Amino acid sequence: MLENGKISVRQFTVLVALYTVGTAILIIPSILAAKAMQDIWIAGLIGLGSGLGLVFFYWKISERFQFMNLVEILEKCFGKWIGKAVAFSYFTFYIFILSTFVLRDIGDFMLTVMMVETPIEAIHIIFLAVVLYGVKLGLEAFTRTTELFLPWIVILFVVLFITLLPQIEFTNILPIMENGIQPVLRSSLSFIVFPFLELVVFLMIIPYVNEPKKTKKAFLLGTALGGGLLILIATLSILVIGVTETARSIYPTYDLSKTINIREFFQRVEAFMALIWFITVFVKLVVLTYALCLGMASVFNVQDYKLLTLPIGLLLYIVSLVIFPSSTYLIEFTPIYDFYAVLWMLMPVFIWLVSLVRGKPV
Amino acid sequence: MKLTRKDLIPVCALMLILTGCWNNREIEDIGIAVAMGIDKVDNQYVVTVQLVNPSSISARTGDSSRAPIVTYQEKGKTIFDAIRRLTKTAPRKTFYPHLKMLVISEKLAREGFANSLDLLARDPEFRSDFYVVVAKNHRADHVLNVLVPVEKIAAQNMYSKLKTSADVFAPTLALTFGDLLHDLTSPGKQPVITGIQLTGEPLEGEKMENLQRVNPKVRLKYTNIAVFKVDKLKGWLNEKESKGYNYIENNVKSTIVTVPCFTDKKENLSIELIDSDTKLKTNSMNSHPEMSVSVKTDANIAEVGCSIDLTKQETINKIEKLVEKDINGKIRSAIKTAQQKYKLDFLGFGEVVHRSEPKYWKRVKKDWDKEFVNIPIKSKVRVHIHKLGKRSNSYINELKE
Amino acid sequence: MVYTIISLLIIGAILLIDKRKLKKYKNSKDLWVYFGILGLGFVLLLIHSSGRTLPTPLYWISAVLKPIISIF
Repeated sequence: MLENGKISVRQFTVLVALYTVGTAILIIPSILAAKAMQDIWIAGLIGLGSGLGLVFFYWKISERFQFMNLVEILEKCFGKWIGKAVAFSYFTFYIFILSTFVLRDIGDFMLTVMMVETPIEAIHIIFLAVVLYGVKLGLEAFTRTTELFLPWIVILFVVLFITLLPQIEFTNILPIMENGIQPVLRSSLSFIVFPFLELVVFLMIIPYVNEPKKTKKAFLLGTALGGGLLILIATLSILVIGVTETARSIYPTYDLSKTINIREFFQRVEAFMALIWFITVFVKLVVLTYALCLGMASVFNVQDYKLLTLPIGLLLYIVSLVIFPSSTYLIEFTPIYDFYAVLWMLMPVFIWLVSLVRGKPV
Repeated sequence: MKLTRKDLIPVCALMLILTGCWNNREIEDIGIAVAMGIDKVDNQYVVTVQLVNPSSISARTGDSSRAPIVTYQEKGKTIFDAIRRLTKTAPRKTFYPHLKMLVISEKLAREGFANSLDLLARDPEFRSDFYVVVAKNHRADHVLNVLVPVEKIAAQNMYSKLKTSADVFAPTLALTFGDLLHDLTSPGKQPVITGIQLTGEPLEGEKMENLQRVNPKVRLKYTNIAVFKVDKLKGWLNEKESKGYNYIENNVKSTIVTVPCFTDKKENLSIELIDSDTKLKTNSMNSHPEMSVSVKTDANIAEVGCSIDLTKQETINKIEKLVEKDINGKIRSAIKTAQQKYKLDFLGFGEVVHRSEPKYWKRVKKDWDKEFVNIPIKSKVRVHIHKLGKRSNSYINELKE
Repeated sequence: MVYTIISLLIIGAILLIDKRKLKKYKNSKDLWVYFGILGLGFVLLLIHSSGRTLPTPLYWISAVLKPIISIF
């Protein structure tokens, strides 16, 4: 066993919920508003519905293989060497790339709106240092940290929501389905890819929950909570700052918290609100890096995944610096990424098919 | 994993390079910009920035012999160009998150200002909650160079003045930059911006003397609303039309209506509106295009200048009718100006149509302003008077002959 | 130059922090994996810090996928 720690089902729920919120809270309103316009909430609900289906599918895979971790599942499915090769490419080309995206997202965010002249390297090193420390301490430690963070997120989110109530203009979501259903569906696809498709890393974590059989409800509940929060935030941006501004802004949620102004007194609190996504991005990156280290350790038969944390962190650091040459590249790459992520989605489907053909595994 | 003392050496070494002070700005090194004026001369933008003069506004050691504000001006091909050129004249680097007012000169507004303002939306140092006004008949820098009493920082003065007048009188419009961006891009509404004017000789306002007088020679005064076609100023509304505009837009929180007394035509009654709610509606636009405005307000009697019997419901009903007529007249005049004089939908009916009849909207979106001109607009006002203040009948009723 | 020194410092810090672990797994083939990844990272870090731009891995991804997407 690579990991000796155990987390409770409740902790697992929190982890899933915050992971789902992750980086999506910063940019999802603008991605959704770009196509779905004022129907963002419909796109969100469709996305969340399909996302829940997807999560259920992931869980079924996990259950069918007696809650083994993803690498073990692949080895079981395709045989030892092919399984390892598939797992290796999956972790390098999907999970690793995804982790660099997440790291770069927070770096870009800091650089764009908060610390314009600070070198991005500094932010990446500091953020990564915390994350790697968390991974080194192990699953139990960072899950408990996440649990401690939860009340803060809830408080900040409630404050954000209540202080924005006076500025809500309900007419902003009209008319419904102006351009038909198609743009709404295209948006909901982006929403499925980001963040629900990414929940696949939890196949690496389910085995270390103390009662894996009970994780089904927790997995679904966590996803629904996280996804619900995202839909709420996205709809709130439409209701408060309007469709065009949401779509044109790079970080609409930040703009949203900038508009908080209660009687010229309670205002300029966006830096506090930024705490929400520092925490959720931390959770997302720590889970991804953990899964990455654990996966790589499984692939190479390394006894202790913690040994690999720092070298992998180093790679993450460098690749995150070069991954997007410019902001425009990121915007141009987003539709390609949707497609790319869906391609990787084929892998769990393939696992499922193989396991069906082979009959009852193990 | 435990860190030993030796392990701390590289950690500390890294910490030295990684301190978060890359772009720290000490308060002594920045000049806090509170207002910005934009003008255009010979194809170059002239940017005027009003900075706070910290030593003269601090409460305890305030040095009242110095002007509380100071302005700097520079030309540039873009706003950013001009701002960076300002470093040649301003002693400190200007700092914009506390910007309160953006003043656009009427000349620039007539030529079109949209191309100049991207910086304010893009640069993270600018927030979008400052107010935008047009300097009527003046250069932007003249407005920013005036010293004003009471609220010493002129920009703060302008800011609170606009907020208050929009709240309790309503011919002005407290329009933030964020709202303006929305109006500039929304196909269903043409933007409008409140004007600001100087009374008196502009150069007199720059002198400290202006602060020392009980009745300052030069003052800043908000005027009415300017109508734009996208970003080009087309004309000014008068006070009646401006108020009508605000009724239609549901911007009226509180205002007063003055109507002639029905017992004595020379005298007047003032009614204070305490709450007003406007609904814009459309009729099925395809078959029978028609739009309507309906206003519901709650009001109190504020001032009576003649002898009438306020204890009779009949009188109150009469007053209500008069006020309704007055408000309706303002609304009609705003609609008339929009449809006949400017032929522009600055009232935002397009947005209502967009929401309620998306299919029809798609067809007319491109030429909405032309379409708008021919659509009949009905208006209905309902006033309900609740309270009389702390008197029933006025003492005027009992005056000795 | 400064960046190269920082790179060396980073590598040094990593090795120092992992010192105990490295001793524990001495002679095990796990160290091959460790130094393999670290070496790759080190090389990339040196190239990056010397001022050369590393190509983004997304370049190949989009090169392959763009024509496929354009079919849809």
